[in-house]
Amino acid sequence: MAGAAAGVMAGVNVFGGILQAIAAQAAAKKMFKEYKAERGRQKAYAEEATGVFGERLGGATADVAGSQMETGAKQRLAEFANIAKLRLAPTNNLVMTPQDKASFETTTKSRAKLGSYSDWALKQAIQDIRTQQELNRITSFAGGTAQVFPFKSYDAQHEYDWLANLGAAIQGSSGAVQGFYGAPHQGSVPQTSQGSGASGAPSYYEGDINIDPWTKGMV
Amino acid sequence: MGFFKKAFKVTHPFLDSEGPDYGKEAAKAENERQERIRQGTADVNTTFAGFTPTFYDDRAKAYTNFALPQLAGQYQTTRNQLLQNLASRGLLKSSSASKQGSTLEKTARAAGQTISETGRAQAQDLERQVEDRRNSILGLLYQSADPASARSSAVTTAASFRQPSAFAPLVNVFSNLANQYYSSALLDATRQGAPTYNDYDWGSVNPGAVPGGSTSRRV
Repeated sequence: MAGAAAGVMAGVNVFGGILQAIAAQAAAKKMFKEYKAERGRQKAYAEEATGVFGERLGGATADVAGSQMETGAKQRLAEFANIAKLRLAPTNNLVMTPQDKASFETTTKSRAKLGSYSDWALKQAIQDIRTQQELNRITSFAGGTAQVFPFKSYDAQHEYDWLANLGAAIQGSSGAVQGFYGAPHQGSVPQTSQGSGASGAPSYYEGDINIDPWTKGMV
Repeated sequence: MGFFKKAFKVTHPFLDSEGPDYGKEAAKAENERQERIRQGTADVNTTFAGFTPTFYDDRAKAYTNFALPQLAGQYQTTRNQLLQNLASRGLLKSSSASKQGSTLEKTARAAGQTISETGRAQAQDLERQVEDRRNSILGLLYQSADPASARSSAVTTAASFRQPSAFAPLVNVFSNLANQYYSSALLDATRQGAPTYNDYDWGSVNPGAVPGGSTSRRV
């Protein structure tokens, strides 16, 4: 009877241990799941940033530069033409000699072309600034999201604590019952403090005490 | 498993070891932070919405409208002086008058282009400053996640950029031309009453003259 009870208690003890092992395994899986989820989120941020940067790169090609400079030169030439129409004096403006006129027109085109570099550079600079703004925002969001991960990992780590606690409780109850039956003057299984038990089974300490694990028969 | 967990949570509260949901709380806080940043970004962009290409074009035109009348005044003054000078010398119909008038006209038109370019350069400089300031405000917002502060800063900054600029008066663009003709007129006045070129006896200083020769000749 006592042996059966001890066996049951041992089984219960093992069951409690198994529950704790399951809890630990489940927690590890949950943590890994959270890790993968965080990696996914960070990857999404990285892809978003790559898209923003790629879009910016697309606007920084030689073709775009040529187009922007051409537009700038046209606008400048139009402004120059508008100003040239103005009369600076009540009477007619003076007349340029053909040489001066030719020289002036050539200079005007060169001037518009030179100024168009400034127009292009400004457009590029502003695009750079706005791209940087967007990248800063994404970086901020990614950083903030990454800061949440340790808390999620902690939660995952403790997600199955209830199961581990249950296993521990079962183990504890098993130990308590064993203790109850094993305690002197309490249970039906009397024991001596040393030596053989009432059942006549040899005690663990009977015989030679050899705790060397390398001794033959110990391993 | 869920059933047991639920059951133990109800019947055995001491087994409910989950405690507070840190991950959920942290995620909620991060979502709120990102929402504040989005809101602040929208507010800042709304505040700066008035800084459109049209605004900068108007800014460039404002300088042009400020400077062109000054150019016209300088042009008229220089032109009158030039014509007076030419008339006093009886050279109004001369090739010199044609050349001087052409130079004046060319200078005036080039100055008009410079004014146009200056206006545009000022507008571009302003645009760059506005973008820099907006970038810096957004940068602070991404750090602080404080939309109220960002909004306040944006309003103050935008208002400062919208104030009318104080333009510097246009320098005399014809000063070189005027100096050249003033010098010419001064030289002419000095020459009046003086011996003409042919009045000199160049023979005494003519390096080609034969020493001791009988040919003291005029050049």
